[in-house]
Amino acid sequence: MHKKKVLLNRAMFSIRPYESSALTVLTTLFHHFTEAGNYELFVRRGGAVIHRAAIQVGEKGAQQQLNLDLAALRDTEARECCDKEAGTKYALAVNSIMGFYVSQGTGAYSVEIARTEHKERRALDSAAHVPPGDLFAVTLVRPGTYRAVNEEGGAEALIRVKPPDRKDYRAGEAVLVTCGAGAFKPKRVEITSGHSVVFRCETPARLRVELVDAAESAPRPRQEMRHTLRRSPGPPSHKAT
Amino acid sequence: MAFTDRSDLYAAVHEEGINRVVRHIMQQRPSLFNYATPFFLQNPGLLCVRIKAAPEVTAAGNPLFTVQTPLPVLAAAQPVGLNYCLQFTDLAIDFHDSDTIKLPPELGTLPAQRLALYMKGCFGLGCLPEGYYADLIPLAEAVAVSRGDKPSFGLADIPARQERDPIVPPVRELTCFCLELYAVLHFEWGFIGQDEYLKVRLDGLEIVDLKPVEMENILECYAEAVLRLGILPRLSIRIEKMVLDITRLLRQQGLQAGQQISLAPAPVPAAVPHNPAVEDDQLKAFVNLVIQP
Amino acid sequence: MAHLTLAVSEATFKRSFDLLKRNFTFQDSDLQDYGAFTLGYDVKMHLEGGSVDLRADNTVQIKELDIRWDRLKVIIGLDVPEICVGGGCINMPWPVPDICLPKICVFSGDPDVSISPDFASLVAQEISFTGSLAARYFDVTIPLPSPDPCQLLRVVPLPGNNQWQIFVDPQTMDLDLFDFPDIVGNLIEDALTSAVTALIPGGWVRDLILAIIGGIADLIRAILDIPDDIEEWLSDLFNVSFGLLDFIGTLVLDFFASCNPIYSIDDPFEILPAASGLIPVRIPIRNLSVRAHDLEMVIQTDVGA
Repeated sequence: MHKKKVLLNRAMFSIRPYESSALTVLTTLFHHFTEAGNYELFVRRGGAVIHRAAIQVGEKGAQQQLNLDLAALRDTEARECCDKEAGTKYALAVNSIMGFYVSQGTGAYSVEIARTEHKERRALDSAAHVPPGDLFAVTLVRPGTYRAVNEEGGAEALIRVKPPDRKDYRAGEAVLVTCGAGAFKPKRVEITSGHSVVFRCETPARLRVELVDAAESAPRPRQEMRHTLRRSPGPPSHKAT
Repeated sequence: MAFTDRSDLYAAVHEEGINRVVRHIMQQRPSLFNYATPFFLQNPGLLCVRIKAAPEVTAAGNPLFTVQTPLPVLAAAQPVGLNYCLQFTDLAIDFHDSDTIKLPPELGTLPAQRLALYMKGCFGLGCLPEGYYADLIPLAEAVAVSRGDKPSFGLADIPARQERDPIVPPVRELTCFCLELYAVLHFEWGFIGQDEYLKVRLDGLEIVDLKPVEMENILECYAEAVLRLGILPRLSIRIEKMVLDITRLLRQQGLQAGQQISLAPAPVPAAVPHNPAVEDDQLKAFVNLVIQP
Repeated sequence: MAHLTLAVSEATFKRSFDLLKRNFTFQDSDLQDYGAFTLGYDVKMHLEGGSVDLRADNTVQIKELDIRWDRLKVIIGLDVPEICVGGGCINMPWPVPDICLPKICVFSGDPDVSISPDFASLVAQEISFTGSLAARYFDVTIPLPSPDPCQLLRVVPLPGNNQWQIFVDPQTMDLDLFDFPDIVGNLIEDALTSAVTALIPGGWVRDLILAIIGGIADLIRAILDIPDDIEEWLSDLFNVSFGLLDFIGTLVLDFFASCNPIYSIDDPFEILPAASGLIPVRIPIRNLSVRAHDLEMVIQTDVGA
């Protein structure tokens, strides 16, 4: 039986804060397009633009939601390196959602969306803040207690992540938290490992979610989780001598 | 009672079968039964008896007879040879317990475990026609009185020929006579080299009604020598052939399995009273497997 | 009366059969893709033991011939489904559409898990058959059938000349079904569990993943769609689904009945070898018949004219 080349998504299990200003694995930023028009998208990694695209938001756009995997954009960019004229274009409808997430890797990304005609009118600059009406989601896998902070106003919330129940696990659940002026609502939420918390911003926000208390029942990650598994041996290397 | 009660393999040939085998041998190897001078290579029709050969023999270019040197004319100063042929034309075998072949009284009754052989042999000699003598006599006389390499009497027209290269006058017709020969024989196992063979041994023979007796004895003496030294040794059959090589696959597969399988006669009298046995009009062979791991 | 009579003792016949049987080997492998999983086998077998009985009713009875498995590998491959977190949608107030979260997956692809435990030492089968002795004439001028069913079974080389060939021709055959012992089920489940577990990091990560996939044993059973009794499922696979049982039975039948004679006699048969440029002396073999007696096999034949 031919084995596929399979890599463990190690970034999923590393412990670090999740920030709206630096999108990493398990975080998603959703931008809500409320006005029709032409936009420009800039995706940055480490300050450098790694992806640029045109977004056309029309009254009768086809898509209501488009999720863009920022970790996959470099490949796209590389493929299109020699055809700049064509560029990348996305077409959406008014009131549609464009999600930006990172499927793998350790990179931190930021997203900027601006009107083509008026570049100074930025619809979104995630490195600065999440504008009202946009959403920031974080999927939490490690059981424990997390603190969510809006660094713009200092509001805090606690998120308790329960260990999964093998007998009754339902995937794909999410809890909505409103991030208002000065406070989260609700202030305490409880989810199960692997589920998501979606923060809906009513005011400009810089959101940060960090583990403050790992669940005692959950042992620290073992050494082997950092191994790459089931990788097929590559061709022998030929070293210069 | 089973055939193989006392051996691993058993083979029996009925005399009708052996006589067919003999016929096949005579037809496929006629040179074993026919002897003649080179003259008959071009004139086979002059032989005493026409040779019936299998088509394969002529197709393979095999000889119909074994070539013999002409019969020398004794005392001839100039060597002269006469064409002749000796042919064994009929051959039949009768295993004990049958009376297909009536043995002459001199051989008595066929003893147990013996087989009777009937053979008809024809001898033909190419006599010189009178005209040849008229040509040859002057030559003979000239050679008779010559001394060494010096020509005598000025007879320079004597052909220069080798002393041992005889003059062999051609013949138009052989003078033939045939004799009937009866023999008593038996079979026995024996080795030729490393291999075990079934051999035919002569116990006695008789040429019927030939006078004087001394001449008969001389011819019998010669026939015995021909049989014992010439024909019978060439009819020895390997033990594997006796059982139609039926163990060939067994032996091949044994080799693959690391076993050396060979055949050996069942011992006499420990296993069987006679081996080979000649009885009930049959030749019977009792054979064992010999397995060496 | 036949011109020639040959008899082969039962002991010699048994030796011949043993040597022929020793050359019977069979190996095969197959892998069938069922989408989420693959099933296959990689097997090699030979024959051993057994008793040979020549019977008075002109038959040969071969009893309890052991099928010895040199290799009896069961290949089970699972395509472990995607293991992802996140996902799901939340309802949003109008005019914002419902928002669906992306899934973040544990592995970069769908991992494959494959095991191939060897149960050669755990499975034993026997073949018994009763057959007649059949004499057939091999005519070298008649082309072999195409495809030649004996191509892979022939251990007795094809002769270069005409031959009388004697076969053991089974009429009926009893072949034990594959019957995997109880321990096999545990071995398979353990092996699969280990293989899947090896993919997953330990600790809370494993807890999470196992919760997502619902436990390895259940996952395996769900993917393979197997009942509680794995042994029975496996036996059924080999007996029916793979068709291996029928295949082996047919091979054994063909091996003895038509591909490999137990004895052969050349026709014409050479009695005096070629010598000094003279052709060999050969006799035609006619009307060959064979029969089994209680204690021996007897061949009778005539010498052709």
